[in-house]
Amino acid sequence: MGTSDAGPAESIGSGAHALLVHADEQLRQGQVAGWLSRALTSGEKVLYKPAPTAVKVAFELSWVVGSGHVPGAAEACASGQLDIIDAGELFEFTGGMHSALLDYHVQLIEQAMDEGYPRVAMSAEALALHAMAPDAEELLELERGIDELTQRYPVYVLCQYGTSTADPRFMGQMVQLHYSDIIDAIWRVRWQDDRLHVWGELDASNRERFVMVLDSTLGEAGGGDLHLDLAALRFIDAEAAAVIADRAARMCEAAAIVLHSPPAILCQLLVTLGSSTGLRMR
Amino acid sequence: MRLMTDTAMTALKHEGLKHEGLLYRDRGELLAETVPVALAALETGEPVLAVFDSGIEKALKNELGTAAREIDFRPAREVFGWPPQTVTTVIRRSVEQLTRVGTGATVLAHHPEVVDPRSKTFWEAVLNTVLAKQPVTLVCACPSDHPAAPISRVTHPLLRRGGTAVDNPDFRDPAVLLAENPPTAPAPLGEPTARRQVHDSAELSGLRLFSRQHALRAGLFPDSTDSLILAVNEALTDALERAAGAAGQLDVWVAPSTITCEVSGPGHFTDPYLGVYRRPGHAIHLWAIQEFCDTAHLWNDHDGGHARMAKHA
Repeated sequence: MGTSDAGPAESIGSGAHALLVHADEQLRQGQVAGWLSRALTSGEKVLYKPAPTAVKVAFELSWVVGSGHVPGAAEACASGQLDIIDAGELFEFTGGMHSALLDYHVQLIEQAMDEGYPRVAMSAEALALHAMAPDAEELLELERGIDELTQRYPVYVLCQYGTSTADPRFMGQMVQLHYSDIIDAIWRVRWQDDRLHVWGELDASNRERFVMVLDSTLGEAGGGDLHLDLAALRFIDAEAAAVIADRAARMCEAAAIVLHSPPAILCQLLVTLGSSTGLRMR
Repeated sequence: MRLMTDTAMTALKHEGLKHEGLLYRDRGELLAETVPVALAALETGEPVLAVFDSGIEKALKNELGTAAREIDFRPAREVFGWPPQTVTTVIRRSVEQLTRVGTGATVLAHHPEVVDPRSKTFWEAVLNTVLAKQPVTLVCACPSDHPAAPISRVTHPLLRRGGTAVDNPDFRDPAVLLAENPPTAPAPLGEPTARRQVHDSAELSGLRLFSRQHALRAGLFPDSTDSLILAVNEALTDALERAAGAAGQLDVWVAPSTITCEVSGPGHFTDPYLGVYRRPGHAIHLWAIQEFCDTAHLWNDHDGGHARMAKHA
């Protein structure tokens, strides 16, 4: 089963509201299996929504519960620690309206807390998310509401979207919403300790999403310094480097993009680009 | 294709770069024209770079006497013995180095051994644009009966004769010359050590790993390997962007201390300058190829666009 080497596996999806962007099914299964295993091992309540068709549910259950990729999944299902939720039924129950869906999730979370679980881990496969809220605007509002739930309750969420199935505009909105924790095929980004940590490789396959993250983070920085921790960045292409240089050049006079432990090839690119305005190296 | 207006051409003749052709009949005339240029530059404190073959260099040193010690002499092969785009990059970097302290500079160049007309046409034409804003006098000497002399007559805005530089009425728009004389294919390298196809940007990571493994086999140091990987990545990215869904190809030749990679795609390069300088509004892939390889040769043919890149340990 494929796993990404873009970032530390032990913390994948442990951010409050993470986005798993997957280009192929094998990679998705590897990431989700690891996420489920860690949640179950930690004694947390897990709410999982597989794709809503009978075939897809059977497939998802087969590898989650029956394949051995998620140790203890069958027992967790039997005990109620792992709840497999039918997204189609959820739509029928809520009409796909984000407010009703959020109310439903609040009930599940509070019930889990009443049962003594320390935290609740929630994840949904892309088709399940679209089945729960077929209207894109409702789904976007649901995602925003989930983001707020993670601040009110001991909840963390892993949203799964495939690059081949998601509309590019919608994917862009999802990247901007989840910018503080994104797991992609060959790169990963996470906001931690007042820095944006970037792992892996940045190239034409993911540059657009990286730029969205960078711009969203700069927006949150509110005109102050933005710290990028690049110690685990293994590759960056010329255009991604040029984007960093461009955004740094646009910073306010006193502010800068601070690059922590940038790889040598990025330093060479920035020198060759003649870019130093708004950039600091540490 | 016409990228320069007449106004731009006029400005090019009188600001920044002074690109002079020197078509000489014999060695006496060559020395009579170049020695005063070198001495005048030295008098004003400008750095002087002289790129000659050894015979001319010796004669020039004799004429200059002690002043020769202040001139940076470099063998012609070190500057001109490369693919046409790499020649451009080498000259541009040399000029940037010379003018870094803020003074002007003078470069005297002589390369009669270079007879490939299309190669010479490329760099002589492109330098007019690439160095346009540099405060440099570039005097390119060529025997008047040499096969390359007709190229010198159309690629230099100025001609040096009788101790002065005069407007060249035969100077032609560099962009038109480039369109008429694009770089041709280099000699084939035979069967590659390895070959891979590329169809999608999701494959780039695997192709970088593939290239890295071969670079290590060639004995490249880590810094050189990283530079090569970047250049190959940019060539593959550009090929995918040009290909509109068709496959590109990466060929690799490994030799002791050298790796050569060639990326081919069905789309043609549309930048007539082939990345030898960075142009606003243009993707930077080709520019990165030129910057991060020891040598790079880009050309179009009926199959599409090709980028051959070499890196040495």
